[in-house]
Amino acid sequence: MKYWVIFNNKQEGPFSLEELRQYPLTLQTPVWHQGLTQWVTAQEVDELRSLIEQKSAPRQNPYGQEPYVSRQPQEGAPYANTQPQQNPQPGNAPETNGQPRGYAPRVQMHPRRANGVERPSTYLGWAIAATLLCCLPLGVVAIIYAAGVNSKFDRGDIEGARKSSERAQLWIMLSVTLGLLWMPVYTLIQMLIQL
Amino acid sequence: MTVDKKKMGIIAAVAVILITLYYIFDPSEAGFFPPCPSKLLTGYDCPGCGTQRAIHAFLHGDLGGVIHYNAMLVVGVPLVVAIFASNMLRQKYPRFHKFMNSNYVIAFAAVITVAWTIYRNI
Repeated sequence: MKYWVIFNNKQEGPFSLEELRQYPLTLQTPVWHQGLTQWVTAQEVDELRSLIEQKSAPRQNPYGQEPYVSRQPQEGAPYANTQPQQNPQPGNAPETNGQPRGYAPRVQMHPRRANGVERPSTYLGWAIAATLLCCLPLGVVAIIYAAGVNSKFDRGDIEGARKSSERAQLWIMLSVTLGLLWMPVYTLIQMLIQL
Repeated sequence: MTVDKKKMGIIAAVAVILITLYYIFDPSEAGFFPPCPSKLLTGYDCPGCGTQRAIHAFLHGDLGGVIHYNAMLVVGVPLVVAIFASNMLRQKYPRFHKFMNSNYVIAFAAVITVAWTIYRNI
């Protein structure tokens, strides 16, 4: 089952249950999945409620308790058999991520981050450029690792995605470095042969 | 910001020098442009082989020469430009950025690179 959620008045998804584990999901976060006629709060979806309770149980989770959030049914809520495409009207979206009253202010999310977890760079542009410019086909390895970044991140494996991203970067740098070193090395070899 | 500007300045300076070099000298004649190491070692053309000659051809307005020396540049360069543009405009167009870094584009890049390498060597 895939879920869509509204964070910061922005609709995001689809996420698997595993991916949602990485998000500061609260009981009041608006959620939608196929089969629902309108947005509901996370506490109304059994799997998500247990996920949140599981998450907040071991330690004192500041997100465990939430201020009152209005729960008006969404206008233009997606129909049961279509996936939500458009962002809901900001005015209509339940205020999920306002500053919780009476609690420590939540960290202002960087806009580039998807709720605190940023997708690591794929370095795809550099990888292709390195393949085409550096006279060494090592960039292809970086392209493969770029795919790993996305697959792992979408699976919820943030650490793995980060590693793939680093590997991609490593292979690009290797390709570029060897490509640049090649010019003086080649010239040197030429000179030695002449002697 | 200042580091970025410095970096951009260095990149621009290197680019200008390289463009001048590749404009004046024809890599297929001048001796000091190194041949591709993979070509030298294996005898096969790698996906980037011919790029130097293609750049020279491009700088002289010879688009046929670009295709002749390394046809993948025709697809690869616009692709790279689009990806870098999407990275820079990530804030403004997150969907464009997401698409350009999606596995569809990555698979496309991998497939054309491998296919091109095979095609040019048979």
